[in-house]
Amino acid sequence: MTTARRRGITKNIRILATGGGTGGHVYPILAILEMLRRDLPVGAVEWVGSRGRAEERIVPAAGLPIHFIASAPVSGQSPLELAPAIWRNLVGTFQALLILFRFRPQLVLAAGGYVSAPLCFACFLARPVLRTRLVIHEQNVVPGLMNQVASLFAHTVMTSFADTPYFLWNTRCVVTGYPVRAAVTERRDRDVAKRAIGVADDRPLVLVYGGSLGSRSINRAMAAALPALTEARAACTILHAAGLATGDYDAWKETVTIVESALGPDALIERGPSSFQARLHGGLIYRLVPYLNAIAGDLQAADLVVCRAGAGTIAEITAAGRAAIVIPKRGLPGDHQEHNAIHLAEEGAADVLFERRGANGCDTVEAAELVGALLTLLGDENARKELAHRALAAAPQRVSEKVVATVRAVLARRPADWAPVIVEPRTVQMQKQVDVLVDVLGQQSADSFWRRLYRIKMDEALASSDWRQINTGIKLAGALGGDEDISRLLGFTTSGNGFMRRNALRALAMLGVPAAALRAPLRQALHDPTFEVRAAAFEIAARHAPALRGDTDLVAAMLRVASHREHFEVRTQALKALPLFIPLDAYLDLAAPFRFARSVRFRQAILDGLRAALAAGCIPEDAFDATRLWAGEMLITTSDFKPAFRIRESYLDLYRALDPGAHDEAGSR
Amino acid sequence: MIELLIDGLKLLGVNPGAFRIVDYITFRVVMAALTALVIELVFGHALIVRLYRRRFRDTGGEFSSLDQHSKRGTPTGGGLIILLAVAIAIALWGRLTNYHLLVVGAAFGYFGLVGFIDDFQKVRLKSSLFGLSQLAKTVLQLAFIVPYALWFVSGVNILPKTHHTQVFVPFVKNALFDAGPLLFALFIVFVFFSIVNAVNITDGLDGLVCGPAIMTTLIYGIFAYVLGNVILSRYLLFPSFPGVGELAVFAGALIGALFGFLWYNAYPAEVFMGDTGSMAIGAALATLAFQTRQEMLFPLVGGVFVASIATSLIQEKLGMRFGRRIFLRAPLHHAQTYKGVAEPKVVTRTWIVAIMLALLAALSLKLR
Repeated sequence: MTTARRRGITKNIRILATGGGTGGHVYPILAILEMLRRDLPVGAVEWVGSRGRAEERIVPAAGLPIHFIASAPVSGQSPLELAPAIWRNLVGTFQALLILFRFRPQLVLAAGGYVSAPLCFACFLARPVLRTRLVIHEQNVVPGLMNQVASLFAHTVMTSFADTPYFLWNTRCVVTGYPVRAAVTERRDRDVAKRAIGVADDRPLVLVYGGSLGSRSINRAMAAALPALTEARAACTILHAAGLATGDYDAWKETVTIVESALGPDALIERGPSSFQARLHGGLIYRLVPYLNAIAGDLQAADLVVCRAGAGTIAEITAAGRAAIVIPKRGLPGDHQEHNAIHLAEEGAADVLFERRGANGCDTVEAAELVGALLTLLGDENARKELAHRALAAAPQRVSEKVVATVRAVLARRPADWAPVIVEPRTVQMQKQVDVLVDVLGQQSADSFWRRLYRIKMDEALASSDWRQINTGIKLAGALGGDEDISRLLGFTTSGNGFMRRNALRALAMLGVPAAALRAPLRQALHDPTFEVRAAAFEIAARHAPALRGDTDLVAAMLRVASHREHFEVRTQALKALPLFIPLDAYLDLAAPFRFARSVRFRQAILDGLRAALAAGCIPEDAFDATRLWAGEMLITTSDFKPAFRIRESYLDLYRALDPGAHDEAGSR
Repeated sequence: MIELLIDGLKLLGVNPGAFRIVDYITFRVVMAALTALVIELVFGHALIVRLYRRRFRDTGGEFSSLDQHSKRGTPTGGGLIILLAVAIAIALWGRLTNYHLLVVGAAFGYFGLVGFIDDFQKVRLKSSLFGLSQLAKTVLQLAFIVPYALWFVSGVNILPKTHHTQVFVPFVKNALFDAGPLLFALFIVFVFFSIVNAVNITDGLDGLVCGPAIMTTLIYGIFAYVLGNVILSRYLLFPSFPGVGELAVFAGALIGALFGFLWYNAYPAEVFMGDTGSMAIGAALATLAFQTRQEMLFPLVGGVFVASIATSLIQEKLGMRFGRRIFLRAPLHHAQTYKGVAEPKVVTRTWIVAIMLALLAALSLKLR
């Protein structure tokens, strides 16, 4: 209390919270309110939301008064629906203004999403009069468009992920982590928790859920997995939440149907209007419900969790320290769920199963994979303990501290601990340029999760009909491919367009295919109509020079191609490669006029080629002097250059000396 | 504005005396150029620092390593400086009641704004997942161009009725043919859009746009002066458009601003103009071309821009379709740097070409 007074917070803080649409926008704010109540003198708290959405259900249950205003999602709407949506938001803004003036909070806490947008805007409009501070919490790695705009109105944005400040329009961000409610994090005896939810405590509990609206692929895979699990006599209880019905997917009905057909006639089934339980052979109890009303309790009781990889889900399972099999939803912008999942898996905090795109455009996860993962973990309690332990370590740490510190700073009108460096996340780099991605993947160990994920994408890319996708697939194959891909790549060296042929050649070289296998494709590539392919042929041949030198046909072909009037790019590569293949005199004769070429690239190529030949021992010692004289004639002025900016050099030097822990990235406040 | 002051003095009965020089367009042209230049020289650095501190920096998409060999991190959005300088120079020295000036000024300002939104999106938004898509950019541009085209062919246009829809070609005295309102409106939309994007694409190396832009503006400024002057236009066998001479003042201001910008933008650049500058300049050039009815001169005098966008478009559209490179690299300046010509040299060589083209274009004043 005394600290609060010193900092200028003398009376109870009135807070207006907003957010909704889905539970993912409500629970984090409730968690933040809990955290604030513990350390700050919080007075009246009220909520602003929309009717007919998650907050209408959850907030009153949490004991907070709620006001309803109009709001409508704006992004992703067709132009026809855009105008009424904007109108609704304007009406909502007006209603929010009224609430602001009546309640006069010191702080507005927003969760992002379209439900909170009107109040954020109202806060901004009323700023000259009311001076209410607005703090937004962003749950996702990449904020949506509405959130980006709203962030500009906020004093500070609290983010869940370290990469988010890179994407956010507002540069005042504090990385706090995802706030999780105390109900989830409190330690309870598992058996007690199981009894509290009415589950037998003598066998492991597997909690399966795909978010409040359910997940088609998880539901289907689970249903398909049941027969195999029964056969394997997996003694456990499975509590499966199918999800609430939406417009085009009635999760409950469909899941009940497919589960019934999967179980067959001799299962003991008890069915109710919204409950379904089956006792199967081998001690497997399967309980299907539409929705988990108190997920905190269910998480406390679970020994193993199967879920999605959304920000909120992952925050909760790690904070609760549960062993989990995460199945990220594919195809989201930026693949963020897949990245979240791999992040966890790399720390050994969870197991990951990737979805594939099915034949009819529906994403599926292999039931067999799910069965395998479940059986492994059900059978090995130590493995589960290890996963749970690592998950707890991977959970966001000290979230409460950071949140409270940020809110204190905001209320006292001091600068908060804003993220100082804005660095492009590796994931963005990887996705922007396939070549960067290929490099990163090539450096990883053989069974890393990234490679697993991109192998799936590679197969899909190669099966596409757009040549650009196939091209990407070919490039990926260079890093990820196995022996089975080599014949496919060889096929691409003759079919497809010029880019594909060149990349196929390069991919084959990258895979380390023996030089003997490359002979025929290279010979063909030398006569390819596209210049890039011919240039790549020279380049790759140079890399395998010791093995290919003996192939007189190949060398003769190279010489023939290089002697004719050729494309600039091809000539450059030829000048670099030939000294490794043909006798020195022949090369010096061939390259002589290029010593005075207009383009610096030719001259540079000669120098590079001779240097490589020297290193490979292709220049006999008694020819050194002659070569030196020959090269001495070369024109070495008129070229491009690489500038060295002294001030950048000094800046980097000082920056690194002052902060030896930092990597190369540099920025300024 | 100075004009207004002088007129005010006249009304009050004070003899302006030597200040009547302000009536002369040539005087105002030079003064506008000097004003714009001086403003940029004086305030340029302060504005650059402002942009830098607000993280308005060109990252080329990446900010992951600040090595000493790269130019990344240079502030962008310098077009704001150009816009400001021209605005002040025109406010001081332009006759703001002149309708041509208003039209060109509106185009200049609007496209500067669109370019700014695009720059903001590129710089702060960094995520390729959202932002001003190609479509949004095109829509915003067309939102000005289409009304402009319609207004141009309609009766409201101040140019003589005989010149609304006819197609004139340089070096030829009479109109080639009358295209009719619909065809000509489409033509305006196409040409305007192309010019704006051509200038945008040419902005790829330090100081590359400034040179050809100065030359093009100079030629159009000369044309504006000639066409606005009854005696000169009759002598050179051109139609006379009263009032167009004011555009020469705008051209002067723009040239002054471009030189001022070049002061900072020359290699190695301290600031980039970004889409803000290149789209504003493109729009100004396009409007200048149409208001002086010398739009067909643009492929000649703005040949550098046309070559840039032609190579880019062909490479992108045809190349992507057939899956092969048509040109070694596109646009043209990238091909040259790829071949090993140093960047400042490419810029100077482009200047040479631009000056030659401008001289040829100037020839079309006399040779008809």
